[in-house]
Amino acid sequence: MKNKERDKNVVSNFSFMVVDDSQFACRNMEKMMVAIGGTLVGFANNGREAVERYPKLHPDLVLMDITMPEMEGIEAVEGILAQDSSAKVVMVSSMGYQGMIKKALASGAKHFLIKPVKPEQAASVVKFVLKES
Amino acid sequence: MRYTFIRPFLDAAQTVLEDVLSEQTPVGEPQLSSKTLAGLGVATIVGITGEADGRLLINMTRESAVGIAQAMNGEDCSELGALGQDTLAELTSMVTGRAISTLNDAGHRLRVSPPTILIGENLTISGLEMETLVVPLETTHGKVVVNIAVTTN
Repeated sequence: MKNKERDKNVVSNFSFMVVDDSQFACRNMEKMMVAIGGTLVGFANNGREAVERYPKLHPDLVLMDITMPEMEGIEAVEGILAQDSSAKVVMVSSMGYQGMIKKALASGAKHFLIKPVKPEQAASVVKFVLKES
Repeated sequence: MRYTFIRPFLDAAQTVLEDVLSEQTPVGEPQLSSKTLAGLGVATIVGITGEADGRLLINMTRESAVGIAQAMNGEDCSELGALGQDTLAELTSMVTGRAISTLNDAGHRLRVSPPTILIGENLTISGLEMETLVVPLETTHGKVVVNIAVTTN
């Protein structure tokens, strides 16, 4: 019983890709994900790179910024889902107004984290999204 | 100057700083100014467009900037190199993103430009002659001075 209780708070090992044009944001998210059991498979600095790298890296989870050069995050979610309809993408943005959140979820993103992201929020969202399938 | 637009930026600056530094950042005495601004060493600037025009300028000493960047990264940023500058840019984006979100949720339509970072001693910043609310926030790394000016179109 005690083990079952403990397991509820552990995120099973998962692979992830971080998509953000900010070096700080990439490293910060990497630290948070590794701390909850994630393994980094790669970074992308904009949406276009994310769409190109996704099929090669095939992560369990993509953490995607919205405002980026070349291709923004919402278009990139659509590009990734066009390749793999089961892809799990969580948006991570400081632009957390209702219209933006609705647009992101309508594009196929599974969840939305508002920056600055707190580690406990990130853990809770990752657990929810990975258990959803 | 429209306080409806200004207040969310001040609130966002305080909330985001408190979140990333995990400390209280008390607000100092606010002032109104429309003079050329003397940079304290490091400044980040963001333009505001849409329903209103304006700018947010976050002004701090180099020591404060280094301390904040190091606290956010958990590693040395004393040179204020690429990582340090990127951290300050991201901090500013988090402030503007939060403020714009509050305003857009209230039915306003505003956009912001990506942040620009200025670094240098004896820096004067001109061309900003708008009535500006200047509010210092106290952190354990030193003072962070938030300058916000917004005029409706």
